Amino acid sequence: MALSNICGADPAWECGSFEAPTPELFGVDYIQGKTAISALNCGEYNVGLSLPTLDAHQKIVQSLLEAPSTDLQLQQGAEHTKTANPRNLFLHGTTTLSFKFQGGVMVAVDSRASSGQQISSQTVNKVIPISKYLLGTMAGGAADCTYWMRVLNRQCRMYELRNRERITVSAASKLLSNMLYGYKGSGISIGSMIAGYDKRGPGLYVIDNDGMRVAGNCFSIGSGSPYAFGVLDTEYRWDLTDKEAYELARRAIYHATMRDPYSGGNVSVYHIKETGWVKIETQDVSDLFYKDRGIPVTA
Amino acid sequence: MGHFDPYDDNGGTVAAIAGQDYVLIASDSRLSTGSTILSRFTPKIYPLSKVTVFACAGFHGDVLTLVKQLEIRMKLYVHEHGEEMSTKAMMALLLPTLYGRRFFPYYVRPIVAGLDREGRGLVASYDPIGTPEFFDYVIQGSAENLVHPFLNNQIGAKKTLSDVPIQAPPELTLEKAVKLLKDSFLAAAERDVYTGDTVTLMAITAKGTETTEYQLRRD
Amino acid sequence: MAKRYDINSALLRDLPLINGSHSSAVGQPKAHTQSPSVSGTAVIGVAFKGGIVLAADTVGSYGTLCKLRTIPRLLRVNKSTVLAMSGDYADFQYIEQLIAKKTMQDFCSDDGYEWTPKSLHSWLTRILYNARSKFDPLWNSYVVGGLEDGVPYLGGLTMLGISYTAPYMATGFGRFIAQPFLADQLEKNPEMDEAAAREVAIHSLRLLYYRNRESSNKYQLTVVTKDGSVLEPIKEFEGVWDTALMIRGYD
Repeated sequence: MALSNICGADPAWECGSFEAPTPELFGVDYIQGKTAISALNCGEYNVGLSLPTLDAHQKIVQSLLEAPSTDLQLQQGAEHTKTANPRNLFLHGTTTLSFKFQGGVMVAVDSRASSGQQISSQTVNKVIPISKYLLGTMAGGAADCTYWMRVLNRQCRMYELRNRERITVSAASKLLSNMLYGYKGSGISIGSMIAGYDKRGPGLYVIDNDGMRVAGNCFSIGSGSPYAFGVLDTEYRWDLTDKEAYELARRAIYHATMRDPYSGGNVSVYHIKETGWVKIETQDVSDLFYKDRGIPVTA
Repeated sequence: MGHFDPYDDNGGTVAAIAGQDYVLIASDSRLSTGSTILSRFTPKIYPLSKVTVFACAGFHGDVLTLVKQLEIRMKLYVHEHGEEMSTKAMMALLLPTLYGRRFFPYYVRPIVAGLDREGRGLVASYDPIGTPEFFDYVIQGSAENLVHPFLNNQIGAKKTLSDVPIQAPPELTLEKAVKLLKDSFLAAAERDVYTGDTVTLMAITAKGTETTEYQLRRD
Repeated sequence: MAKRYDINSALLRDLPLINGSHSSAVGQPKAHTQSPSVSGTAVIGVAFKGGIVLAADTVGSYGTLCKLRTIPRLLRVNKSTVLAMSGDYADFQYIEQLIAKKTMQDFCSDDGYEWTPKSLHSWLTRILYNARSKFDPLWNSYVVGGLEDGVPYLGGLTMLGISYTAPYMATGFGRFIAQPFLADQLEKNPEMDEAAAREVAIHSLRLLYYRNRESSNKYQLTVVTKDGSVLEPIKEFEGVWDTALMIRGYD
């Protein structure tokens, strides 16, 4: 594609955003074996990113989707009256965390997606690369996160092309929160951490669907976050070594998945340094469970 | 006065398996509304190009509209680029297409299956507003909760971790995959009222597409 | 940037959905039919070797009142395409007008284009789906029939825009009463000829007449074969009520 040549994008890469990622980075995430992070952030396919419309009927639709009729009818044992409601099928549930320390920024996430009681997937990648120096985490509505991160991905690339320098974590997170503020109250559900490394050093912001944006050193988001905070706040120090930081991030997510039914699957740990982000590992929490108890696993 | 409900659940099940050099996709052909069957002759499976197939359960009105949109986009792409959109591009296109209706969602359970440019099988499934994920095998629709554990066991090789070594599943041949999907739909028709009548299986390989049909329970 | 969404006006859940006459209410879209008034009940469609037959009785019900006894619910579109409707009669007449208008446009274009059953089916699906998406549904189910390139075509369509094809179909109450009978007949006689198909269609109406309070014995047929389409005059069949004498326990 001519445009991608002008932009400096290499159409050969099938995934990732700014440069060709190695398979290890984008993992061939155990179990399913497919390239999990996918072609979807790829510039070649970044066509037709129109924003969803908020039309007049939305109020009615919203009331329809939010009406608790389904639950009530189920409780009353009515059959065949269950209203078809796509909202019941949206994916939810998560534990994500991120903290700054002397070695940069750590990001760790679980990989479970659930819709209601059903586990829809155990292999969701909840860390979305925005650039080589920027990562976003997903919590809340999976589609909302995926979509808006993709929009952000494009915005950041445009920023770099226009300004000939890397976007800061602060600016990137502000782009996203400003976009979301325009949709405030519309039912979008996003809880995201934008973590990265820029000319000012390590950066970490938490943003949500109300348009909130807060900087800080240590965050956790999602249904499992209280458990993760318990571990994290106990052991967190600025001067953690890299190895200690990996261990802490992993353990905080692991314990959250053990207590929170809506979190689970794999723990993925990322480290963002001055040179960009690296994926440290992806481990099945079941393996961690047996390791935790000193039971050997033949994997 | 009755509250107008713009949605309906028309049931039905779709499934797909991705292999090294093939992709297999299947759908039953029952279309129901409430407790009645509208049609026994409607497989919810729609070829979009030579190597890409779309399959979708859910509200059939939305399914048809979505298919129309994808077909139009494919047509425009062919006119513009002189070749068919790749499977991966179609998979990427579905995300904004579904998300474009974020505030009045398509009530659908879509699967896109096809071969990538190297001829490998590729399967992606979505939630109604576009969350994509790639899988080796996937099932969506009214019997998904019923059949998914079966596929997890047969293909995903899910076992207890403490005593059995985890093994990478052996290479799944097309023949084995066809057998597995047939069995899946037989089981689904046995226990799900919204799945039945016939199952349409499409096997796509470098050689082309082969479509077969098998009868299921009609009760 | 999208307009900031007004959170206060989003809490309209408790406001009733209103119909046409109140449609000036602030922030509410126009919606004509939120429930049907004068309506027709089941229609029957059967495909046979070389053609199709559609059948419907001629009642326009107003609740439980048999308000209109002789209204045609079949429409001959052209020599290859016919249409049968159940549901709100006013909405059907609106569709009739739309079809007439578009037929006239096509005629004026003089490019040889004409409705085919498949194109009408597809177009009607869009009309009904778009109406439902505006929360202003057309309260109808349709059966489109005819010959598509010489091959019998039978398409069903519901008010939400769900369309499908099948060799036999019935709408409304006919889904329960007539559909099993039709399935059985076509299974026994898959190569049905026109005479047999007419017989099956009329018998379906008869079954409905006995069990559906909205039906009547006044009916109409339309048949499409390679010789063209015919909208037949309204006829009547005689009910056989002998069995009624044997029923005990309801008196």
